Amino acid sequence: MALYSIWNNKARSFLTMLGVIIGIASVATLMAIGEGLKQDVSKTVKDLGSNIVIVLSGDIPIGEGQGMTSMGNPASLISGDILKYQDVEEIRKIEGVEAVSPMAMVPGSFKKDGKVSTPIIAGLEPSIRKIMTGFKLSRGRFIEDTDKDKNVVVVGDKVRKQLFDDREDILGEKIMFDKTEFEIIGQLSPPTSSSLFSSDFETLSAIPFQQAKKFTQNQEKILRIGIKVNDSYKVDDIVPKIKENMLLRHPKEDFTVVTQEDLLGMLNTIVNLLTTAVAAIASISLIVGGIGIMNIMLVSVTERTREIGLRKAVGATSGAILWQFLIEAVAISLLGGTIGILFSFLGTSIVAAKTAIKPEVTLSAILLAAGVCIGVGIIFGLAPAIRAARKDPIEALRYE
Amino acid sequence: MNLIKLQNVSKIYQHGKLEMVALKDITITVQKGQFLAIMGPSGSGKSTLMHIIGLLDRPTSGSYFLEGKEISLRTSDKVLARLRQEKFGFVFQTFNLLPRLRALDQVILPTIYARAKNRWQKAEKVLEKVGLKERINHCPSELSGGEQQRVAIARALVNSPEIILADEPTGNLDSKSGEEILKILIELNKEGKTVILVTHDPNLANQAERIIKLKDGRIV
Repeated sequence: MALYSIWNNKARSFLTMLGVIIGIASVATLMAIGEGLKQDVSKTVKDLGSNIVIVLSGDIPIGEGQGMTSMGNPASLISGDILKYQDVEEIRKIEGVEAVSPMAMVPGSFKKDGKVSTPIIAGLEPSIRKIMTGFKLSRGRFIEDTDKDKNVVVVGDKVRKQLFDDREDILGEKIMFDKTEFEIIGQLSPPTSSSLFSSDFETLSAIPFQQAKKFTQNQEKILRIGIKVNDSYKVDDIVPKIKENMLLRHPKEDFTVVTQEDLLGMLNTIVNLLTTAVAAIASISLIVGGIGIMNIMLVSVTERTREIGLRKAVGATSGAILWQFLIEAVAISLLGGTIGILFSFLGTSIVAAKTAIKPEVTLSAILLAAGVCIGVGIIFGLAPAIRAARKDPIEALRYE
Repeated sequence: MNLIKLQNVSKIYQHGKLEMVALKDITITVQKGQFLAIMGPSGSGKSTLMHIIGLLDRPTSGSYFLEGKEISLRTSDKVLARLRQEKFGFVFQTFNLLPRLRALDQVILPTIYARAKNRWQKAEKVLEKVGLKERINHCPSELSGGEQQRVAIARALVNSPEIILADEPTGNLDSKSGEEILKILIELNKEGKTVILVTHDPNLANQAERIIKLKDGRIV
């Protein structure tokens, strides 16, 4: 019977639902994007390989309860002067550490025949391949120990596209960095699955760490140290040792040792925070939607005063009238929510098509939306329903 | 036993400090199977009396017995609703059909509240009885006034009540349709239903076996 009344006032019902539709659609879409981001983050972190520890420059508080505000001096995060190559060598000596590589960033761009490409140029050691297993070569070879003093480069796919148009094989080609000629010895595979973060591999170019030093006024500019812990050791046992070792040379603790879990947790915290904040803002429209439902239900009760009187005359109890109007409000809200979810599928597929994020409307999000809709229907439908139920049949029948 | 007994029933409306007496010391009894007309000019309290009899309204003072059982102020809303379902069928001057429901659904409505079985069959049967078998799928806007009132009568009959309360049932109809409606009411009375007809039209009232005349809230 409730559906009947909604169907009889199609246009009005739809407009009433609009608030709920927009609210549910936006909240569900945002939650889906958040979910997609989280999966993206965890995939990227896993791409690093397993049993990975990273030493970052700067003291970053990691763990629960720490706000973003206590990050310390943000400049230290990107400062390249804190971590030294000596640290790399000392960490290499720790038992259980399988591979260590400095990661230095070199600002600048590659040039070829007047074309310019500005990738992220990283100074790395060959052992990096044991640490970042996400590196895959499509052609050639990676930097080896014998390349230490050679001007060689392993380029990402972006450099190939930007400097060589669509040529597939560019091994042996020479490209210019500053005034130095580099030979291409390897090509990185383009990322197989698109990910918001995997584009890193596409824009990355690797040169030997010793060469990188030359372009940074002989400063090491180590931003991070990547460490692979031997699989027969527990990461949690090795981390304190690394920290201890580092403290010998850095008494001020101007560095941070993070594991994959720390990294994942940190990124997830940020994503969760963002998702919640944005979804909370979007849910304001749900309240607006609820007020819309209440408004139209109050109008409906007044309009249908005679109907209420008649229903009571033919034997409806006040309770039956209350239920009728309450169910009608919940039905409007729930129907709006259903349409909203459908729109969120549309929204997420647009996001999926236009960006690297793969949003996912989860079952729990749908159930949550349904619950919220029923809640909104009851909360905002109750007052009109009570008003309807309280109508005196005589007054109601006389109402013109 | 008296089907309905009213004893010194009064109804007073309060409008702020102003008191308006709608009914004053009404004492009547109605026997089962009677055809009773309540007559009086407008404002004489006849509709109020009908509403009190039909349990849509409660008297300010006095007592009301339905089949020997007293209906008091303490009688709950649920019980009153149940009694309205079982005992009374209402026919109004303005038909009071729901605008977008087809005739069949209008008639089914009371059976839903009564939780009756075989709703469709019951509704079809009473519609056939009032001569609307061919029009059960029509909405009120597609029916003439007389037909609408016949749907309303079918709706009043569907739960097989003992008492039909008709408030100026012919007031909005032309004389020919009005006669048809009256004929149906007389027919129902012959079948054993108690019919209480509220009207200001003496010609209509004269069809009843008993007439109660009201004026200014009192029986005259």
